[in-house]
Order: sequence, then structure tokens, then C-alpha cells
Amino acid sequence: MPHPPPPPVRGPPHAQPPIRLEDAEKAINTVKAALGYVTTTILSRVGPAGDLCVDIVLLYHGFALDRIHYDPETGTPSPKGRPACSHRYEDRAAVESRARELARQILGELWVVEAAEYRAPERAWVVPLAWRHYIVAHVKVSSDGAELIPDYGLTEEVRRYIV
Amino acid sequence: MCRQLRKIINILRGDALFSALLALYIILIALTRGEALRLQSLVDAEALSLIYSVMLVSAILEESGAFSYLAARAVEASRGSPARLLLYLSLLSALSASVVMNDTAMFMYVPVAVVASRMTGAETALLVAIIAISANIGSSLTPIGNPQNVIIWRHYHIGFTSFVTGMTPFVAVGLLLLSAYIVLAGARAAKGYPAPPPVRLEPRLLVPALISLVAIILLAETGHTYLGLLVAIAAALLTRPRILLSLDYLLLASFALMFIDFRVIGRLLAPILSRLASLGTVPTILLAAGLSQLVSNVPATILLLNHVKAWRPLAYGVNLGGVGLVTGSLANLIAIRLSGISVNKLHRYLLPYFAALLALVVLLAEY
Repeated sequence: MPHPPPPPVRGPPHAQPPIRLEDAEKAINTVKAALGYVTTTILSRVGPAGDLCVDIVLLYHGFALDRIHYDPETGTPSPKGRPACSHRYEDRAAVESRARELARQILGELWVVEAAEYRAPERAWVVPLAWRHYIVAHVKVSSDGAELIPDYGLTEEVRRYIV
Repeated sequence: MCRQLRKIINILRGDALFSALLALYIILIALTRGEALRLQSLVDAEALSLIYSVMLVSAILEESGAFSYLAARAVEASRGSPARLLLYLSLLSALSASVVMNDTAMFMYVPVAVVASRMTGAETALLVAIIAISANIGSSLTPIGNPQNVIIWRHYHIGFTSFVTGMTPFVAVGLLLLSAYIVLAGARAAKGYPAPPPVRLEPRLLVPALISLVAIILLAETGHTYLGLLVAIAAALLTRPRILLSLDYLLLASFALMFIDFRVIGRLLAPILSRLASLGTVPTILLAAGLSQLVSNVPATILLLNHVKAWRPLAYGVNLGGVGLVTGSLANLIAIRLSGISVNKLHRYLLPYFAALLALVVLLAEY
């Protein structure tokens, strides 16, 4: 028995730009060029259970690129995917001050991982940033590798926090 | 119910400005025996809606990446010269602040100033001061550059071009003085820095935002402010609907409270303020600048609005007040929080500039 014809697709399918190895390389170089212009700020909040969460936000020309989780207990960055909130702290201001100090230091220690992933729904490359052996942040770059794509939601969060 | 109340309390605790204004309002209700409860006559709803419209369109403009794109081009154009870099960045900051509000310009360019200090060897506090000054001075040029100008523009029914023409001498003097600061920055020659890559530029945000801004101004000029608000909301819905939810409504509520609190205080102090404001142009400028140091420039504007006949001395004074003490303008607090420098360090560079500009503005007013 012949199979019934497949249902039609409504409208043309989303055209994805062609992916080339050169674009990935370009995206990595774009992030390397941008790294010298990145600054940091701190976002801290106390959760409903009283745990303190501190993030170091990477800023570029006033836009947030990504956040690096700060571990208040060890005083070091936490790898991506592991927000390190803690109940064990004495003074919030002291933790924030240490995070600020680390933020200043960390800029010189971040390095760009020489590989990128491609996110088709966002049509963007994602280039990881590492600190020692942790991947701590992701920076999004346009599919042609030329322009940085900010995290607009995080940018708004920073604005609300700062003001 | 308890959870909702706790949420409200947490919001209030997190927003010192709103809480302080609310506390002041409660005190004023007691002092005026309930007169302060007549909100309708106290809140300038049209000015508020104009501020909100400009905030909305500024947010869209900013997300378009246009100003960040220009910052990257400015660094490229400076070709390794620190003095050129500082000059271009300060002009860009001033220009941006005249179109988007000055606090938005701070968010965009203070981080660039921090990086510029790294690259050029100039002191961070000085560069942040340069950006803060240029954003405050640049924002004084147009009626939409900062909230105090929006209020003055509306209250005195000045035309847009008349406002710009009137403020041009102030802005010109301010920027010329700023260029002296750039020379003083004493940045040593940098080794050379690569041009920064641009943030994604989105023309489909930039064009509607610019068209909306022009429409808002034209509608406000012809007395259709609320229609301008609809234009702003429509622009946001068509481009970035998320912006409608993420705008700082607590800041807007703070402006509303400022109107209420400082109009009431203005009425209580009416005899003194009227007497002082009638002393002439220079005393009005000094009064406006001085009050801005105490209560910040937007409340100072509201305090003096009904007591000053001519708009220019008031506009000169409150905008000048924004480059004095950090408390003179909310935008300065943003610069401090973004850069991490201390208030004292920023004052070290703001206050001499403020004194010099005050002297020049007084001379300008005399002649």
C-alpha cells in the first residue's frame, strides 16, 4: 500500500546561513579582539532561602556579554553551569568587595577556547571563555563571525541593579 | 497575601531612592495635614508620560547597537592617539546623551572609559569624570536629554529649536572647558590597540526608534504628548516588546513621587524661593546649581519651577548642578557603580570643573 503524501510545510522553512569553518575561526578572533575591551561589574542578590549569590558580569560597551558565577566560599570563579550560592557568609559587603577584587584580577586571566559551537535557532556562534581549567562564560557572535551579540536580558538586569 | 507583601517590602528595601521619597511623602502628609494627598494637582502626568516615552525609545535605540558601533569606530579613528581617543569618546558621549537620556549614555560609555584608561595609562577616575561631564553637558542641549529638561520644556512651553538654541552657549562653553581637561589627562602614548569588534547593529531597531523619537518630539510640541506615548509603546511592541516589561517602572514611580514631594516642599517654602528667584539671572543660576547639590537636579527643578519666570537661568543652573557633587545628578551615581571608583576620587575631578564652569556661566549670563 503506498504511503500517504506527507503533510505540506506551512510557508518556506527558515533558511539557515551556510556554516563555514572560517566563520568559526573569525568568531573566535572577534572574541579575542574584544577581550581587551571587556570590563566587569558585580551582581549580588540574596535568595528567598537567605543564600547569597554573586556573579561577575562581563560588560562590553555597556552591554552584558555573560556572567561568571562567583563562589563566596572559595573566593574563586565557579564553572559555567554551577551557580555557587552560599549561606555561609558573615558580611555581604565583604563578599562583594572580594568579588570585585577578583573581577579586576580575572580579566587578565581569561582565555578564549579555540573552538566554537553553533546555535542554529539563534544563528549565532558561542565562543567559550575559560579561567584556568574552568569554562566560565560564553560569548555569542553573529553567524558571520563579525559582531558580538549581547545578552540583552542580563544587560537589563545589570541596569536595574546599578540604578 | 503575606508573600506579596514580602515581595513589595523587598522591592522597597532594594530601591533606596523610591523608599526615601515615599518616606518623605508620608512626612509631608503629616506636615501639611493631608493637603499633600491631593495628588492630581501635584503630579505632572504629561511630563511623566514624556519621560516614559523617551525612556522607551532610548532603550530601543540603545539595543540597536548604534552607539556601541560608533564607540568602536571612534576607537578605530583615534589611530593610537590617546588625546584623540578621549576627545572622540567625550564628544560621542555628549552627542549620545542629547538623544538618549544621560543615564543611558553613562551605561554605554563609562565601561569604555574604564578600558580607555587601561589602554592609555590615564587615571580611571579622570576618564570616568570626563565621560560623566560630557554626558551631563551633552544632555543639556536638548529637551529630551535629561528629565529636568523635559520638565522645563513642558512647563515653559518652549519650542524644541528655541530650547536647543538657548542651551547652545552653555553646552559650547562646557565642552570647550572639557577639552582642557582632556589635555590635562596627560595620557601617555599607548602602544597601539586593536579596534574593538562592534556589537551587532540592528537597523530594524534603529530606524523605527529614530522615527518614533522625531514623532514624539513633534507631538509634544503640538500638545499631543499622550499620542507620543502611544507612538513609543507601538514602537516597542513592533521592535522589542520585552522592553515594555523590563523598563525601570520604579524609577518612573520615583519621578512621580519627586513631583509630589518637591511641589509640596516648593509650596511650603514659596515665600523664600520666590524672593530668592526674583533676585535676577545670576542668583537664580546659583540657587538652582546650589539646590541641585543638596537634593539633585530633578527635585531642584521641580522646587523652582513655579518661582522662576525665565527658563534659561533655571535650565543653566540645574544642568550645571549635575556636574558638581555626585548627588547633583542620578546619572553620576551610575558612573560610580559601573566603574567602582570612589566618590572622593570622582569629586577630585568633578568639583574643579564645576567651579570653573560656574564662573564661566556666570560671566556668560552677565554679558
